[in-house]
Amino acid sequence: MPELRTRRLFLVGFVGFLFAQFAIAFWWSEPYPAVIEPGFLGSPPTTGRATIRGYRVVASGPADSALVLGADTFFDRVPSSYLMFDLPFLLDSTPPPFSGVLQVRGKLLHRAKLRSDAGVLEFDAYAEERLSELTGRADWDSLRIEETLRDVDAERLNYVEPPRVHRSREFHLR
Amino acid sequence: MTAGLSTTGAAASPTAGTASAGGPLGRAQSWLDHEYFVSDEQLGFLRVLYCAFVLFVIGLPTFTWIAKTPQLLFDPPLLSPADLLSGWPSYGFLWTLSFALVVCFLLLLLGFFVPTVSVLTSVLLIVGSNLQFSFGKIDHHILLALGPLVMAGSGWGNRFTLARGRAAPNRSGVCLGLFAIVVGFAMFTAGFQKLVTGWLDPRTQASYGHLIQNFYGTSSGVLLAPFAMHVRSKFVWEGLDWATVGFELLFLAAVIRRTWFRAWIVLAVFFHTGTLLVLDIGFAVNFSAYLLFADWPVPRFRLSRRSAWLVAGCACVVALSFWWQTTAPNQQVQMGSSLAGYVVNRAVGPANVNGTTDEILPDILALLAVAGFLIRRSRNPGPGVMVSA
Repeated sequence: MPELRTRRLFLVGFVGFLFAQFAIAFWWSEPYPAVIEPGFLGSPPTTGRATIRGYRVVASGPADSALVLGADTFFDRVPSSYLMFDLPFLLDSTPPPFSGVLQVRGKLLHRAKLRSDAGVLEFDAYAEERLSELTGRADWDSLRIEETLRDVDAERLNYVEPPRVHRSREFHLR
Repeated sequence: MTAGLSTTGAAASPTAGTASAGGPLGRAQSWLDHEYFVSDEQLGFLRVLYCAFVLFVIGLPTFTWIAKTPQLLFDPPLLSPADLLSGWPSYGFLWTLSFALVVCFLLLLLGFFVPTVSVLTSVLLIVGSNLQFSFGKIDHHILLALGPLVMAGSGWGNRFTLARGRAAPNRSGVCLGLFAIVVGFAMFTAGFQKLVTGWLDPRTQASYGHLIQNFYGTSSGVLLAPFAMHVRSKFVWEGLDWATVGFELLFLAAVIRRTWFRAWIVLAVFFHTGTLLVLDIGFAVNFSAYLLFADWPVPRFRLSRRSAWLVAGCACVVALSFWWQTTAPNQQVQMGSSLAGYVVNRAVGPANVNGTTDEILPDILALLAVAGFLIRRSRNPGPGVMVSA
């Protein structure tokens, strides 16, 4: 009864896939949403202060000239919601390589970060071109991507103070 | 298009009126057939509706924009084929992928090579989504990608087709039933994550917290968010937290009966529209999955073969034109473009707040469909009507 065997195999595979999916969602979720999204591992605060995360790009040029842009203005070819997940990865330092054979996930993370950082040279060219498009100038010296945190008073619903820089990464353009 | 060029399926389920096959497998098949079986005509019409909705209302995803982004942003999911790549694929590859996808959907719409093209469509959507999600964020498009794959063996290419192929057996009960389980499971996992991470904790109101985060963070408070921010009642927000978790968890249980499942889909349409209006989180892509479970009135008119080809040609020209527009080199980020989005954008113009007004159209259509089914239900409370008992 090959038909019955195929159907049985399909059903077992289907149920197995659902279980695997559930296990991954429950025990092995990707780290970034869990870390950066308030509420993903607990409810976000609705009293006191709520901290809002944001990203901006600061370009520096000759004679101390500077340009501050929202990250979504600079990375206009990437959906802004994607940037909220990708820029933390970009700003992260490379995790140390794991020595254990079973640390598959650590190895993959390490390799992913090294692979991404191999694109720095290409990014410098991208940044120069993009700044030139935005300002008409091609003499920018460096570009810094900053992660900012800004507090909101959850009761009064207003910003409490200016955004503060939480971490940043600098790229030298010329 | 001509309806009923070929037929094999009966109007009733294949296991109806017969003794159920032995064993758990046979009982499962009997249950799915009993609950989810639809006629060949209905099944063929579902395929046409599904393709038309994706092509002309929500718009097909395109992937060419990915090639214009810096390699530094390449962060594929760890357990995925994209993790084997060293960076973004070339523009040529992404163009071919996007073009193949629109061609597949058109073939599916017209009814050519339906089983094969259904599988290919899902594969292309999964590969493209994998690349799209290599910015680190994983969107909720999985139901769109899985729909054709699960329906491939259902026989949904038997009717409303321009092809003169051999008809396949009608396996709508099993295929629609499995897809219902997939939909229910997807919603269940969403609810389960909320359940175990404190959404039901009465000391905090998670929905309201997300509203604050979205209002000041990513969405800048569009649509109804400014009004929702003034609702400060803890009871209201806590009630929404509980309702959300309960609704998502019970979606899986609702699969047991088709009538329950349809009722849950009606709730889902309201739920998704609410999250779009208040939290600026659009789920219109899920409507493509939901529409497969409704009893649509199948058109009774017949087109001549010539007229059917003419209509098909027009559909191809419109779909390919919008696809071409999204892949133009000077385009900004375009994750999909559709006839409906174009019409709304032209009509609304600068009032398209934050680019979200056109996202409301699929929700409005879904609400109108729900209203239509409920009116039909109230006038004719017999079987075969949406949310009928």
